[in-house]
Amino acid sequence: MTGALFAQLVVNGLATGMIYVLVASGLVLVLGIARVFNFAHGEFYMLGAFTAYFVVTLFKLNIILALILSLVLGAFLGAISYRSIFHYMRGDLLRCAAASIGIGLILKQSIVILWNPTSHSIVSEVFKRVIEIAGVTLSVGKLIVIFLGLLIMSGLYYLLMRTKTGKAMRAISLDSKTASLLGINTVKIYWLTMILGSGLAAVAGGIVAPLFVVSTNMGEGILLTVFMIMVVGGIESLPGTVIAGILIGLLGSFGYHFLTGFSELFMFCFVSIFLIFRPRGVFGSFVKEVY
Amino acid sequence: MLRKCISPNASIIKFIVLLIVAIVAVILPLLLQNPYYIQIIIMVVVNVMLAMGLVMLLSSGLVTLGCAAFWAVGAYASTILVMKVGLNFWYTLFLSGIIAGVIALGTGVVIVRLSKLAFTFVTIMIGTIVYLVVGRIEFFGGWGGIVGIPKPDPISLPFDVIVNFTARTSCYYLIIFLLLVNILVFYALYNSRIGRAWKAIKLNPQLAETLGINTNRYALAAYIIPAVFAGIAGSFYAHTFNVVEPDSFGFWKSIYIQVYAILGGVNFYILGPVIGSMFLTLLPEIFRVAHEIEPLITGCILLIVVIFLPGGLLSLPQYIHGSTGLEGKQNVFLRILRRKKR
Amino acid sequence: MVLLEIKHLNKYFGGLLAINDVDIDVQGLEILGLIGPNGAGKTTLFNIVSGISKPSSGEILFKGKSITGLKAYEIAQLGIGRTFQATTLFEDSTVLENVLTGFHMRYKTGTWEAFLHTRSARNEDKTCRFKSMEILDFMGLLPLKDEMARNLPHGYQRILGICLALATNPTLLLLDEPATGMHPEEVSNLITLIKRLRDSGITMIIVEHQMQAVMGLCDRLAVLNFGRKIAQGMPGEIRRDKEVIEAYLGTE
Repeated sequence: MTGALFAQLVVNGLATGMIYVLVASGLVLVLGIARVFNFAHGEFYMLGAFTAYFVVTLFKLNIILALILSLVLGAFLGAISYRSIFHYMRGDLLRCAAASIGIGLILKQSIVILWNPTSHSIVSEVFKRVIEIAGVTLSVGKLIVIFLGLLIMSGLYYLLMRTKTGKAMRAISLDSKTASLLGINTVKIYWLTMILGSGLAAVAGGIVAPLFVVSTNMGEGILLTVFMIMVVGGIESLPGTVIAGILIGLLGSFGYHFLTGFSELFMFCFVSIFLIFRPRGVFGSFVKEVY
Repeated sequence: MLRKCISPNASIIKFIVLLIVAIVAVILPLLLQNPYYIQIIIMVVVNVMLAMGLVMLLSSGLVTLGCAAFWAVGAYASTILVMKVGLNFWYTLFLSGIIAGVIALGTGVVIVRLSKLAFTFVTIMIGTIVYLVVGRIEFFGGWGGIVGIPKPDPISLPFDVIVNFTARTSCYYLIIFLLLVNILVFYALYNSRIGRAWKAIKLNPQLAETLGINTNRYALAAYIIPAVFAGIAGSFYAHTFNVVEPDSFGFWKSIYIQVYAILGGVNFYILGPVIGSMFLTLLPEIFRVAHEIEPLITGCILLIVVIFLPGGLLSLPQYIHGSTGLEGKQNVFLRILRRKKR
Repeated sequence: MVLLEIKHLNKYFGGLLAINDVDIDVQGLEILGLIGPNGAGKTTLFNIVSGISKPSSGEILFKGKSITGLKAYEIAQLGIGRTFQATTLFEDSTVLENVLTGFHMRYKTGTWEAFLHTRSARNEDKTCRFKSMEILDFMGLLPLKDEMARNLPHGYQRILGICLALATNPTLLLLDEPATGMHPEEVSNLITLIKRLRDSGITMIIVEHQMQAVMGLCDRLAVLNFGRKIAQGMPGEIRRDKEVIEAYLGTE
């Protein structure tokens, strides 16, 4: 294996991994802080991708603007779905799951109906991501994805660790009752978390749109992968999820290249075996006693 | 008016209702001449069995989103055993249940002790793995699935009657029989101290433990028993519909099973799945013309039920009589309803 | 005769030593009071004895046999019952069903018989229902048997919690602040009940803050402070113990 090939596989893996990390982080936040099980999270991702695609192809606008619009759309969807629906069933995971499934179905089918042909991929070829030679042939697009991903995750880190809101969020994820007794406006934080998490998913979709295929099925696909990542990383652990996301991205990249017949199946089996020996995930503590 | 029903005559009324239901169930194929309609009813019954299993696990407090996995295991196991190993369907019907049960046992032992959230996540993964296994591996037919699965062998009854299964009607009676067994077993379990233990575990697992209830063991039972019945249902499905393909057993199927349960009402262990499955299996048929609209309608109905009637459709009578106290905006709808009654 | 022995018990929560080398013994048929300022580790101790928490080191012997590290349901089956500080009930069940659940582990008929609804299983169900009502009667809650547990007034909920623990037919009963939120009348009622329980053969450890109740009721006291046992003995001695007074009132 040459250095060039290695570098390419790493870049591919990191790019995919970054996308996973963005979407997964969004869900970890929503689940861990707002305690909302949002199955429509994947559809928010899909809608972010569609938004970016349409903004650029139909309105011929700047890609950065497209990303911002995706973010705004995601935030908006998060906000209204929280305010009108999830607020009343926060904490009751089954009910949230059911409601979000309903939302997801509605969102997905609406897109399918509005943009015939149904779930055929709309290949987006937004702009040609020039393949740059930097000693090695690397895809600029993927490098940009990695860069953007790192940028956003650093922003998230800063938000969570250095700002008052972030501290409030972390407090709530540990013990929401105490947090509210300490004067933290828990409802506002739940709302903000939902906005943040959904925004993350949508912006990830926006980033992906120029590079990969945009289809109505992308929500479901990424959701399952994200679930797997969360299980490996520890469901409520953000650092664990980040590491797991990158690992899974890299695993996929190398796996597809080297092993014929490699597929998601391999990944899932690999992950399951990992789980048997370490059900906690990387950082997770979800093997609690029955209480 | 509801209060009048809950009177000394209640059990007579219950008996009469059950009798009517039984009669209808028996003569239904004769009423519906069209085999296509019979097929739909068969599918409804299969879904009822699957949803009932989910509700059993729910009654002990655990949420599974991978229930289609055991259904798939049953279907594929039966198919392979009959087509490649040459066993008789009547053996594989039960073997499939046992195989599904064994897999449930193996996975359950590990995952039952996880926190509720982790358990749910891992069931999603199990569902996905089974889906991928039957989809990717050629032995199981790959993405195209397996076609041409033989129908059940004819059975001979006393008085020289031979029942063969080429017609839908015989399959219908078979599944009704299986449903009956399922209902009886579940009813017996729910009304015993096993059912009480499940309820205790759901309401307060820590308290249940200090009262001497081995929560992990009972949760495991609530996980395995539905898996066995799902396996049996899977075997039936494979040989009645003669085709198995991975897409019928994917994540969405597990989601839909969940929806059948929630729509009917998760507190109604047997009637809930019936109502939910009927509703959601018949709905796509009504909208068969506008095939794309169906998930939209399903989503809307699900959303409305979950927001305004979290107890499911069957909890509607309770709400109208105000015996459950819900606060907040959801109750606005019900208050309006009640105001109109006055 | 020693019923329960706690030997050199330690419990770490991360870096915090919540229980620090605690030795306590409980004699059969006595009422031992476990007192100490808030945060001293009393509930943690209960959690360890009843199996909900595992100790970091140390041993617990019940009737001479080690129960360290056993699961909560195993410990319950051996005869240790407990109540909780926060009202812990099956809120969506009736009072009778709550107590009936407590009988679960006492059933002689097996699980199969329960499933098949054999005559012996059904009879045992009836018997246990009857015994549940007996317990409710003993504790004064029988008229409320069909009421939803969550609708009960707070004081009755606490008593129901005790009924649940009684249903398991415990030899040793751990009562965690049973009198919380009760007014004096209810408290003296509770004291009478506890005395009757002891007379019926149950040994008890009671965590309680209300000193009147504690002094009058308990045969011996053990005092915890910051996870350490600082005194154990008769109520009279404890009252005068300097360390105990310091722990409660602080040093001058």
